[in-house]
Amino acid sequence: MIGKMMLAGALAVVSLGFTSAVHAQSAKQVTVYMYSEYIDPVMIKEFEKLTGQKCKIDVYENSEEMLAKVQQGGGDRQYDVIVVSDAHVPTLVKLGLVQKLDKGQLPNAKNVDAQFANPPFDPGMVYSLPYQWGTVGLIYNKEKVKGELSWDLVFDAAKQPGPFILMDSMRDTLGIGLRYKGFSMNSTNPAEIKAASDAILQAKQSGKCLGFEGGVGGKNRVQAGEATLAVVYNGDAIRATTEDKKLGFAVPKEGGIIWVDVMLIPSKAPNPAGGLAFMNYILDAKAGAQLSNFNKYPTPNKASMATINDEDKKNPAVYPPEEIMKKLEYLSDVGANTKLYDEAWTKIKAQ
Amino acid sequence: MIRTATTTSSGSHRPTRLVLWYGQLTTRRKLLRRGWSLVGVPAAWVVLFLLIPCILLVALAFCRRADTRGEIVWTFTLENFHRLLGYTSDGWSGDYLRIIVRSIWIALVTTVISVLLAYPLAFFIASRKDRARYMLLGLVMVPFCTNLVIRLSAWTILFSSQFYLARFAVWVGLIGEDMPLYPSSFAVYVGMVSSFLPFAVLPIYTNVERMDWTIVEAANDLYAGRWRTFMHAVLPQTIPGLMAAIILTFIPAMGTFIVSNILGGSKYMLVGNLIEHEFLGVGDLPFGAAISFVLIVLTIASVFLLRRHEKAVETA
Repeated sequence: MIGKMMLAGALAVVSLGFTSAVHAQSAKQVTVYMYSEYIDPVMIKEFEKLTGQKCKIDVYENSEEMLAKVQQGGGDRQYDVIVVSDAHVPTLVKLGLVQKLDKGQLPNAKNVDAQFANPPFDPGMVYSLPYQWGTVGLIYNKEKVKGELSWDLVFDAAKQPGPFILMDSMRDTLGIGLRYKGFSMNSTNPAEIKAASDAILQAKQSGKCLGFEGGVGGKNRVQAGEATLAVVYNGDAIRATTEDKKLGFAVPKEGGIIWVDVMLIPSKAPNPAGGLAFMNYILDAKAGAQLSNFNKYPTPNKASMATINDEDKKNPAVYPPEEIMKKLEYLSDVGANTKLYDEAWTKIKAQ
Repeated sequence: MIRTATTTSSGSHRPTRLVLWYGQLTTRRKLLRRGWSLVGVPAAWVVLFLLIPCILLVALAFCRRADTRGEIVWTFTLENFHRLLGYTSDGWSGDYLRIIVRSIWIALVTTVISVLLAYPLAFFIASRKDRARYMLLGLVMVPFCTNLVIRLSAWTILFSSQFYLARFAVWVGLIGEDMPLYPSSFAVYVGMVSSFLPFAVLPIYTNVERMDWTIVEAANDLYAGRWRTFMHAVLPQTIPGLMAAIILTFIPAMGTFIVSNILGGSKYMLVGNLIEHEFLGVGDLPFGAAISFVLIVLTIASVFLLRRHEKAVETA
C-alpha cells in the first residue's frame, strides 16, 4: 500500500504540470478519448451545434497506450467518454475506473442491435454502449488465392499460397491459433494453448512468413504486392479492398474473432452529463450511419442499417454472412491465466 | 585559487572568514549558495526523474502482478527472477535466456561492425582539408535529423521484392522467387549498423583530430614497421575514443527494438521488446521491471569490464 502511494506520488509530481491545464477547462466541454481517425470530423461540429457543448477529441494509437493513460496517467478524471476495445472493459470495471450509465439519459440505447445488447464482457450494457464492431480475418490477393478461405492458408505449409504476415498481437494471434485447432479462443487449458502456439511457431518458422505486423502494416504489404495474405482487422482491410479491386477480405470458414469498441464514462469524468449526450448522439440512427459510412466499420445500431451505404451493406467483408457470424467469438479477459498466453507468446517470439 | 583570511569587523566579536576565490573576496557561505544555485536544479532533476524512478523500478522488480491487468501486489518475492531464468508454469524453458543472449549478440555484432567501419572513416575525415571535413562530418550527422522510423521505412523500400537489390538476390539464388530481402537478420544488421554508425564515428573522430602525430613520426624514424607503428603509436592514442564509441554503440543497441521490429518483422523478441511487451502488452509491471533491472545490471557490468580492460591496455 505504501509502495503504491509512493508510485502514485511520483506520478503525481510528474503529472502536476498537466493537471493544472485539465482543471482550467470549462464544464461545458465534452472530452472524448478514442482511436485516431475513428470519427467523421463533420459529426463533431454537428454534435456541438445540437447540444451547445464544445467537443474535444483526444486520440490514441493503441489500446495499451490508452490503458496506461486511464489507469496510471490521470486520464480517468480528464475524459467524459472513452472508446475502448471490449477486452478491456472488465479490467476498467474491476478497477472502478468507469461509472454505471444512467439509461434515462440514453433514449437511443434502444437502437442497439440485439446481438450487441447483452455482451459477455458487460451483461446488460450496465457500463458500456457499443460504438463500432468488427472482425479479424485475412486480406488476400485475389489473383493468388481462390475459393473459400481457411486458416490452413496460414498454418498448413502445404497450402500456403505465398508470403504471408501474422498479426503482432498476443491474444488475437493465439486466438486464431486456438480456433484453427478447434478450441475456444479464451481457453485456459495449457495443453490447448500449447497446441496453438506450436502451430503459430511452425507457421512463423516456415520460409514464407514475413513476420508480424500491427496496425495497417500487414495490409500495406499485401497492397504493395509483397505479401499474398495477411491477418488484419476488417476496418483496415475494407478501405483497401474498395480502393484496389485485386484485394479481398474475409473471415475464414473456421470463424474467428469478433470485437466491439465500446463507449464508457470514467468514474471521475468532469462532465458526465455531456458524456451521456455524446453517447446518445452516436447511437442516433442518422449519426450511427454517418459514422459507419465514414470509417467502414460495421454498425451495432440497427436503426442505422437503413441509411448505411448499400455497397457496404452487401459486402460480406463488412457484414459477414450468418454462418460466419455464428462462429465468431469475443476475446475475454482471462485474468491470472494471461501468464499462460504470455509464456506461449514469448516462446513464439523467442525461437 | 582559494586563500582564506580572518578579519574582525569593528562592531562584532564574531570573526567572518573571508575567502579569496579567483581574485574575488567573498565568504564561504556566499560561495556555497552560488554553487548550489548552479547545481541545484540539475541535481533535483536527476534525483526526481532518475534516482527515484530507478529505486521504484528495483522495488517493483520484487513484487507480483495482481490478477487485474496493470495492478501490482506489493510484496517481496523472487519469482520474477526465477521466471526470467526459465522456470515457467510448464517446467523449465530457455526462452527468456535466449532472448537476452540474442540481444547481447546482436548488440555485440552491431558494435564490432560499426567500430570497424567508423575507425578508418574517422581517420579519412580527420585528414581532409577544413571544408571537406565539415561537409563529411555533416553527412555523418545528417541521419540524426530524420526520425529513426522514417530511415528504417526507407530501408524497407530498398529491400522490397520489386526493388533491384532483392531481384539481384533472387538471381544469385540467395532468396526464393518473389521474396523481399526483409524481414531477415541481414536487414536487421544493416538497419542497426546504419543507425548506430554516427555514434561510433564522432567520438573516434574527435580523438583522431587531437592525435599527436609526432609520436608516429618518431616510430617511423626508429624503423618501426607499419604494424608496429599502428600498434604502438596510433592505437594507444585512440583508445579513449574507441572506448567511448563502443559504449555509445553497445548500450543503445542493447535496448533497441524498433530496428528488429521493422526490418526483422517482429519475428524475434529482443530484451527491449520483452520489456515493452510486459509493461504495455500484458500489463505485468513487476516482471517488466525485473527484466529492466537485469538489463541495467548487464549494461553496467559490461561497461565496468570494458573500463577495466581499457586500463589494462593503457598500462601495457
